[in-house]
Amino acid sequence: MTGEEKRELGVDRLLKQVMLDDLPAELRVGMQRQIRDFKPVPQTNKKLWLTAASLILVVLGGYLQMTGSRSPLAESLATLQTSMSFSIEMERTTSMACTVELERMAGDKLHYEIVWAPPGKTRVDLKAKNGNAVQTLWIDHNLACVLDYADQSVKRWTSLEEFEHPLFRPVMGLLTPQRIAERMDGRWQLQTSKRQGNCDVGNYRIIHPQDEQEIRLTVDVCTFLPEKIVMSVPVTGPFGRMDQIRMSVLFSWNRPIPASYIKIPTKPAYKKTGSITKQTQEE
Amino acid sequence: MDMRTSDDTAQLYRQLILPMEDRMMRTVWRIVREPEEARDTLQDALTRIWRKIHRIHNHPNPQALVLRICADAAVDTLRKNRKKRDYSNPNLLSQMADDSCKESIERLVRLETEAEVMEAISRLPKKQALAVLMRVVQEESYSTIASVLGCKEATARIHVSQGRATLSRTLAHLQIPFSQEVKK
Repeated sequence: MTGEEKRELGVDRLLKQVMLDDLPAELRVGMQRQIRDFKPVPQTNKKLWLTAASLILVVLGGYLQMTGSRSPLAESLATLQTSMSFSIEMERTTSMACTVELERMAGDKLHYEIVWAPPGKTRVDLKAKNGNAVQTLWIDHNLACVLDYADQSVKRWTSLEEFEHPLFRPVMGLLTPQRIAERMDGRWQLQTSKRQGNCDVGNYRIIHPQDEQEIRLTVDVCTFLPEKIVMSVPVTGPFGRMDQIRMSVLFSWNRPIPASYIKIPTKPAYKKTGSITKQTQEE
Repeated sequence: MDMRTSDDTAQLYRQLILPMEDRMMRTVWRIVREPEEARDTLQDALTRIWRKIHRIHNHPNPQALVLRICADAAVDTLRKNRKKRDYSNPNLLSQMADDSCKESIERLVRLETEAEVMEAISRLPKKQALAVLMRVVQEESYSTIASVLGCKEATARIHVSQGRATLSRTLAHLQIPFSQEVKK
């Protein structure tokens, strides 16, 4: 036996002496129960799927740019009308409110309520299952902060450009009518149309030419304002596992919003140096 | 499109994990050797397994891969605990200088040895640590070790050999020379 082999045997024997196969019976029972009753923590991949969800709006914009050719259906008057820029109508709105549901195939859900009022205030509530706001994102022109109801803390105001928050990332494209319009402009294909009150409501869709992912848009043809956007996007989760994220946005436009609802609890003061502080609002 | 549901995952988990739960528990215990830590480590391993269950299912040796994940989680626990433990004064015997109880001294010697071995393993590069543990503790073949480490069999042998060599140097003072053992 060589010296090396002797050393190896010595190490192996030492490891086996230390790492005895002597699992205590009580611990064995506990661990067995642990294995059999194992439930994965739902929040494990929350950050990852939120990141993926935030891509939905980017994807939406990308689809619209890619679908350039017009089908025979698109020659209909309604399609010609809706292929105009949404931004023209959206710029005239006096308020915007929408609810956003994000749902992962695995079962996780997030619910947001967004209210925008001109000239530049936005309130985004991230809601719990019981309907209470868990966190609120406040935006005042180009500044943003998050109010956390758990510890009643208002996070530091920061510029909107630099604002980064994993929980609010998916809805950053829906904060203002202008942002939404930028992502909606494009050519849509009319699927169905029906009369609602004095106006037609058209259902349009875009199908991605490669993977046939579909985005459905419901538009009030009188106002050219969107009522609903529904889309689902496949995402690749950890270790290549496929998942599906469904996003549903329901809009309401030009409805009066109580001043108290949009009253921002703190007022930002942006210094030229770039540092941001908060002050008590004196409105 | 691969549309897997949580039901599929749960079913695969039961099919794959339940028949080998005993080996999983023993693997974690033999490396961690502290009840609370062992349970935390097992939970960590189960979470990793759940996330990778479909990949594990498609692996040529799913059982070995599961044990590798358990050993991996256990080595992570050793590494994490290394930072928490105070190894600056590992000589537990000095605290028991006046203790005449043979059993207590033996227990302390064992604890001290265990701590030193675990410390040495936790300082090995991750693949070497896993390769040595799979070879020595789980008694896996080199081809199995290679398949779960994602390397060639020759590389797996090198990992084991280098890990053993490092441990041999680090723990030389704890080993009874093999020649003495043979003479006995």
